[in-house]
Amino acid sequence: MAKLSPRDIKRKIQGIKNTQRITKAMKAVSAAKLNKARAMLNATRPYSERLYDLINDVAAFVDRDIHPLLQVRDEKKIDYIVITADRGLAGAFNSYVIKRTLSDIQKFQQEGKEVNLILIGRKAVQFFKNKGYNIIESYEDVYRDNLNLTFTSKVGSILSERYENQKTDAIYLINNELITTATYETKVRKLFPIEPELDYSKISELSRYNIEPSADEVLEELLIRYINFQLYRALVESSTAEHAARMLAMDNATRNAGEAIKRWTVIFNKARQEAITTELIDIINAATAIQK
Amino acid sequence: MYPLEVVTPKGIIYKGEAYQTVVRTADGEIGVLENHMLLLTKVLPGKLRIEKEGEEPKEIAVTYGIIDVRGDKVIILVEEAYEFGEIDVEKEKALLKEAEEKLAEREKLSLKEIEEFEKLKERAEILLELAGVKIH
Repeated sequence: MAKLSPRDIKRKIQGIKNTQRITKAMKAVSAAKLNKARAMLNATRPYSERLYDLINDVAAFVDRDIHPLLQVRDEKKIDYIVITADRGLAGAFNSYVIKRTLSDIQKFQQEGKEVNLILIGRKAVQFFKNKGYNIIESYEDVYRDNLNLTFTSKVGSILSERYENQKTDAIYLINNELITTATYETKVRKLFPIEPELDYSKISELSRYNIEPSADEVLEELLIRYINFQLYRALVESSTAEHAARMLAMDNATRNAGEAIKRWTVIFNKARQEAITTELIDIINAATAIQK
Repeated sequence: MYPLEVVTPKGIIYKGEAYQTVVRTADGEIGVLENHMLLLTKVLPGKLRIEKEGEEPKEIAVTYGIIDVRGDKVIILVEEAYEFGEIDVEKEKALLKEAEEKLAEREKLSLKEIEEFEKLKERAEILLELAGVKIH
């Protein structure tokens, strides 16, 4: 360090300043995206409330052992839907999900269960591919063009087909969720089998309804909408947490850069002072020599 | 007039009074007026028309969902809803192409998959038509 000339140090400081400018900009971008994602998350509420109410009402009319999407079986085959981000630079955001998935897979396998993966997000795909895991589907770049139900209904139809045809006995969903602006958590939820909170109190009211073509078919329709919606919501949750994580990571990086700049400025000032002192000594020495 | 709500996962698209609502369902196109019988049925992709007295009717494109005609109000839950001009023509064309390609080799598909791709094809065709795009 001591060997660096003041000019080298100045160049170094300039370099750190450039990096800081980038991290600052990334933080601002993430903050804007976080606001947008949060608004998207809040906007899901009216739909989910009405959808859940309807499912609970209609499920009371249907024999759950008969309905293929409501059947509960022994969990021998498990589908695990892993949701990460496409990009990094967000602290431990992606590695939390991957670590939890790995430990869950190990746990299921020890119990003698078969685990199949459905991967959403480039980081998950990059990690799990070519490592001997059973991968059913992998998707990347799903956040890029405005998240919507077109994508999730595609995944949803694959899932319901697998459940109905007993290729899987339980489907889990793992993703990060925002707890407060500064913290997020990795959550695992069971998507299938669905256990509606049956509301028998409304049966008399509902029996005045015309349910077309039949309660069974309307329930199936509701359950498909439910799967598609749960996937959509998990993706929005994950992207909200991702932007918060990146904002935080970039905020830390910006602060660290600021400290580095301070430290190097002190070193620069010392080096400059040294150079001046050396020059002064030279001049004084020379002047003294002439006087003599 | 009765209160109507049209809700998608992206938010409440419409909340207000309606004189008549016309929507495509499993039973064909239905018009819901005040005091309609209580009804719960599937909504299929197509045009949703909301008529109010003394106002131009509002027309939007919707995809799959449920209509819940209750005594006190009508709720329509749909996965996607677009103004005709907002329909992503490129995306729908890509979906149509995908569905047609898969269906061209239907012997490779399961019954459930055939059903899914038929639905996808229908959805894309209807949305493209509402967007004013000529297919084929």
